Amino acid sequence: MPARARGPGAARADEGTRTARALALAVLLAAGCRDAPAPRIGLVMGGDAQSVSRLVLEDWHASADPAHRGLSLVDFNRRYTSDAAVALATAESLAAMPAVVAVVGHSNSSASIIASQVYNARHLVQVAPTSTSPLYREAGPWSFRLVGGDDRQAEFLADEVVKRLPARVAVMHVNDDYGRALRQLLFASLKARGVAVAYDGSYVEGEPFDADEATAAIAHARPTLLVWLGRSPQFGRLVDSLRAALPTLPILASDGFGSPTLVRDPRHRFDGIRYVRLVDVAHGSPALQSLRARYRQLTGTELTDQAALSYDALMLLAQATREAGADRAAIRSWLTALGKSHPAFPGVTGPIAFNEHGERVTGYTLVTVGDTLRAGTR
Amino acid sequence: MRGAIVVPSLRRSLVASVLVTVAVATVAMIGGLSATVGARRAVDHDTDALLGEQRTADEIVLLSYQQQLEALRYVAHPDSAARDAFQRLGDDADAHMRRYLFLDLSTAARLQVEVMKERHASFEVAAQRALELADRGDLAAARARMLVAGERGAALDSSVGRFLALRGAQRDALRVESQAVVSRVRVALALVGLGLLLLGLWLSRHLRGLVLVPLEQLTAAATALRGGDLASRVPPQRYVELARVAREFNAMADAVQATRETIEMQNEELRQSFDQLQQTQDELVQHEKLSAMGQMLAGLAHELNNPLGGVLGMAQVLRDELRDSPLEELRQIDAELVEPIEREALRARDLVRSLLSFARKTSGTVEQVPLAATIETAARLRRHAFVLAGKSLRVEVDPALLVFADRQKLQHAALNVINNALDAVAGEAGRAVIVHAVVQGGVAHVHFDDDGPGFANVRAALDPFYTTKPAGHGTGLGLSLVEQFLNECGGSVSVTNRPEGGARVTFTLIAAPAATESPGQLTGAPPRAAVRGPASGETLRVLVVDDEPAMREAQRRLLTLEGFSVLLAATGDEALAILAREHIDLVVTDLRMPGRQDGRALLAVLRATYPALAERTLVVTGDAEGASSAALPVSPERIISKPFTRAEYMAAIQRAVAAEGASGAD
Repeated sequence: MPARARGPGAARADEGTRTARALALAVLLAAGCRDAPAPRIGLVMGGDAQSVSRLVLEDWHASADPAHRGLSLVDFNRRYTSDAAVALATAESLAAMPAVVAVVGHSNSSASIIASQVYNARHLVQVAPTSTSPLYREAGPWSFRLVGGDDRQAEFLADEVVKRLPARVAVMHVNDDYGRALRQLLFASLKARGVAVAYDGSYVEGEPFDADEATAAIAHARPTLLVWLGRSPQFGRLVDSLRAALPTLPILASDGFGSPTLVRDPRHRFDGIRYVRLVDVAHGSPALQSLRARYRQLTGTELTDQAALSYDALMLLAQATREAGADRAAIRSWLTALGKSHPAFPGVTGPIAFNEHGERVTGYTLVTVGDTLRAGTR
Repeated sequence: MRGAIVVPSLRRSLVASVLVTVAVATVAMIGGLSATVGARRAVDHDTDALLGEQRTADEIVLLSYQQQLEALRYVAHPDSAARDAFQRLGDDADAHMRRYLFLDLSTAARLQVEVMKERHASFEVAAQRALELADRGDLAAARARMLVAGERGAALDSSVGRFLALRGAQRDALRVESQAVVSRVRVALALVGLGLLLLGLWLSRHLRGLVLVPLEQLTAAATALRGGDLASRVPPQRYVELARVAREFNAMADAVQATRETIEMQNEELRQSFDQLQQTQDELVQHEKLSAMGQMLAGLAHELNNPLGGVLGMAQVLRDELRDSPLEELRQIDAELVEPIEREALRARDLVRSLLSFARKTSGTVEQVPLAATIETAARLRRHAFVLAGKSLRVEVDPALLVFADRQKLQHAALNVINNALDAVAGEAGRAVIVHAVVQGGVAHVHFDDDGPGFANVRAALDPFYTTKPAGHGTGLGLSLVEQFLNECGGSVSVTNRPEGGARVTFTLIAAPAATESPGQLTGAPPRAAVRGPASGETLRVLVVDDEPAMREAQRRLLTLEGFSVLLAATGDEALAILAREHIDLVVTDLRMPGRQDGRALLAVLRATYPALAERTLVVTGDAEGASSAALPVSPERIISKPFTRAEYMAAIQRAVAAEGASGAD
């Protein structure tokens, strides 16, 4: 049992640890032979990934070799998947299970980074669907991701900022591995474009957030554009006071802002906010459209980046176990060979192949909450 | 192949042993060293890492405090530089913390890093709020918020301390484990060392068995072989290389032994050959002595023949004068004095002739020879020795028996056997030696019987150098030479012990048909022939040429008694002078005469000048027995050997006269 950390995360760590122990570690995808124990794929993502995993099972049963079927779905905990303690405990548990040959996770860069050390030490393949922090590149040779690093997103955001010719730019970032790194990269990109930042603020997820104080601080800077480098729940606490103080302030957000709750907000408080999406759902392939439709039918919500990329990650690893067998090293080699000795995997989000950092170079799309998705892809 | 014997190779065994030992030792050493070095390096690395982490942690704390200071400064006096510094310091602190992210941390330490990050973030946010309040001029709130930031900074500080403690504990555990590893390695090395020591002891023992023992065996065998033990061999070896050495050594020893045995055998043969050679040399020396003695005797015999001839001739003349004398006294003198003279002179003549016969070189011609006379010739030489020894030697062989043999060789053979028989009957051993012959189926068996002790070893009796006589008293070649002589004659010899005691030596020779009288061996007095010439009725004139006065006188008296007219010449020249002025009917000349005209030269002149006379010329010589007839200038019937008896002399004269009468007068 991991040592209990003192500080703000300690209570969550305790609960997360106990939960992790009770879990059978999310979706177990058996792709092995009938005679041998079926290999399993761990899924450590949010609820939308769990939802899409059901579609993965349906599609796998429909397409896979009858000799390589066997898919079991185990309940998983959608909460605190980003918590470090939970991430570590989950990673330790998954790595200790011989039948687990790969993991799809975690839900954010911090959790992915801290868990990657366990996976790399125990030689367990990790595919992070949406972790964009540049730090993830240093995770190790067993860690892959289906998206590019935030250095590219920073450039994309900087270009979008410049397009809007803001006189004063306010930047708010979540002070963690994701937000901090993205902030540094964005500041560098803005500086390179000659854009000065009028306000540079931060927040910590999970800590009490004084929305009025934050609004006052932002408003004091009199920004003409706010760039939110964080997640939507925290913004949800701010948006009321912010809209009240700066009703016309354009807001530009990074990919972490994406969430199913955005369009479900009854007051449409997030409408008009433009944020970066890692997957161009509106203009995607027919397979993506099909998945989008099926996901909407299943969940009643729009297909998120996490869901789409989790779908591709699960299908990718299922295919890997079918072709490379239930061997962790073989699966890793198979993933490394994609786009080289093996053709790229045809994911719904596009062909999947990894560069020397184990990351997939993808484009970005800027979408507006409450509006149809418009092109703005990098 | 099934059943094939695999002979181990010493080289492979040694190489394998050494390689195994070296490999084990190397692996152990490398493993031990690696483990020790690795453990030490790990400890050093851990120490360095701990120090590095300590420094990082110190930096984090320092940076956070610096951030606080900048924030406080900003709150006191808002300044963009302070704000920038605050942010920069925070980025640095975050960068420092990120250094821990990818270390090999325990779960607790890793979580502690997250706590550090969270507390730093929390501190920063609090400080940032203070700065924002300061921007808005709410300094009291800003200061109050700075207090919160300070608390969070302290919390960060304690979290850093906690992290270091966890890392320290982790490293202590690693260090303990490393030390345990080092201890285990040391124990393992000690065990390996002990194992190597045992392995070394075993290896040395094994090597001793592999190499030293075989070498000792080889050395011992070589030493023994050098010391003369030719039977020394190297025992069989297990390994192919040593087996090859042993095999070659043993083959060499076999060769040495065989060579030595051969050399010893050859040495023995050489010694025997040398002994034989020595004996043969002695025999040859003796033979040469005998040969020289024979030659000397031949010369002496020749010299004796002349005075003997004179003595005999005169004695016969005197007897002629006295035997028919009317006076009793004269007849008595003849019987008592002159007859012994004649008899001894004849005896002396026979002895000389026997000596000359043995001194003569063998002709190598196998011819009909009178067996009895030949054996008697040899017996005569030893008979006196028998008499002196009180033994008897009798030759009881038919005088008419002829055999095919080389006369001289037969004489030599008979003499050797008689000598051996005399030695055999010497002392009290025996009394007599009898020689007798039996002819059966054309083969004459001549037995030499004695009543001595007999042959000690009949089988070896004929072997060369076999003798029972003391050293220096016989070469042991006698009977072997007898065998050789008889084989050369076409005969053989055998020896046996007689049932009644004594030895028997038997010559086996081819018997010859009955002998016709040899013109050179007439016995008895031939009838007196007429002394007158056949044609004229005158008395025949005989020229006697001889440098010995006694011989001249003896011949004159003999011829005169027979009614011949005799002229005398002392030399060939005198003879030619007489022939030139006188009519001569018959010439009787000595062969050896001093001066230019010896008998041969005279004969040559006679043939040239008086060929008819030369055909009748008689030669008187004392070398008739010593020279081969081929060397004589006239045919054997015209040779008179001296000393001669009256009858012999006159027989020759009568034959010559008869031949003159048949051929007509000159």
